[in-house]
Amino acid sequence: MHIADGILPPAWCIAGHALSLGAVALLGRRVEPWEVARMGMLSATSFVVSMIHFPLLGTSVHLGLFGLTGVLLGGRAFPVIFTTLLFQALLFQHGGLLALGVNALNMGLGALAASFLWKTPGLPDAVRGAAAGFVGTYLPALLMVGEFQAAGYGKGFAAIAAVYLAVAMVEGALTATAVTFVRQAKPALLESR
Amino acid sequence: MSGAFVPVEGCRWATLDSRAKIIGLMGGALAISAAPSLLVLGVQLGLAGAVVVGSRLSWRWVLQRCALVTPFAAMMAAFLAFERAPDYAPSLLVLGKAYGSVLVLGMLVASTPVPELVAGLERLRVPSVLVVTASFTYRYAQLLEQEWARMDRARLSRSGRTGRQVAWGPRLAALFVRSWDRAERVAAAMTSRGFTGTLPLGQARPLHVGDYAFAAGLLLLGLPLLFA
Repeated sequence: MHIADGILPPAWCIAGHALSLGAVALLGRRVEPWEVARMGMLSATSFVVSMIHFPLLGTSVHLGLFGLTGVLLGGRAFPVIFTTLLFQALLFQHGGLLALGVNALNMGLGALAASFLWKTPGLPDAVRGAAAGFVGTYLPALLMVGEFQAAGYGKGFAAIAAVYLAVAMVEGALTATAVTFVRQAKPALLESR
Repeated sequence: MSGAFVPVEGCRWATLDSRAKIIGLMGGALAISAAPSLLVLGVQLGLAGAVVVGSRLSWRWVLQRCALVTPFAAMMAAFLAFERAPDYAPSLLVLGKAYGSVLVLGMLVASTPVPELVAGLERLRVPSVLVVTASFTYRYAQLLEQEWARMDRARLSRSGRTGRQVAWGPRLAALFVRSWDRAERVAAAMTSRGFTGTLPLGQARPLHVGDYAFAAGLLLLGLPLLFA
């Protein structure tokens, strides 16, 4: 799901950086000192978790946890995801530095959508968590597919969207069990945003 | 993973200012990804190759870095080949741009320790929340890797099973909860020591002629675009 450099037109990359850095500034404004350590720690956690790969449908995928990050951090998830992606691009070449803005927009929007879904009243935690985890992963995949089609790579990416449907279902199930665990172990964590 | 945080030893560009490297190398990679034809791209790749040779990095490191991007770049090239057949130039262009960007931006990773890179970003006025979050991420990523390994050892010692992982959700949630607790302790300790949400930045050294020359040299990768 991480777009590499040289794939998208340069103008898109510049626009992606401008938009995502704007979103980072907007959603990261007036951060309290106590929030900073928490955001850094969750960014580090997402980074470490993203290194855990598992086989799925004949390929190897890794967890993103964009949904869970959105559930736990709300709007602050965007700067956290940007940072996580920066480290992944620098250290493991997962996604490019030029494409970082576009990648951050895709995945950050997924996390924001997950945060929005999590706030839906009247549903059990597991259902809201599953929806948040699913959308947090599948929305970025759909955005990426749309970008590739708009950039002229053809319509073959519908098949990739199908693969990511399976990944999103796994993320949804994981997020559901994770929020259920957190509700029992440390409920304040789910009420903080 | 821990080794990934250490820049490659012996890179000639290690002594340059991180601001010059960020601007020059990002600009160079942008120029490569704007190449309109294989001829222009070939000239740019030749210039980028000269930067790599000049860096004194081992070819093994460079090839390993290129290998990381191969699955994605090859997939994109294959899709484009099917879409535009029998014109395969766009596919080759995409492959060349992907590898060219990796070559150029790999220099940044190889020559700049993460704290220096973060300081460079701050001096280039990226939003401060990003800089502080990146500093904390760098600080805690290795620590959390050890935490994950510790949880794994505890699980094994309790169950004795070395096969398939089970209960991923609770395991990940436990890592998040532990991280959160730790972050709150760290925040309390830092606040008590006067932390106001920003990290102190050391005095930047003035840019030298070599810094300007490096950035300007990389930006020359955009020159072939003018003749395209």
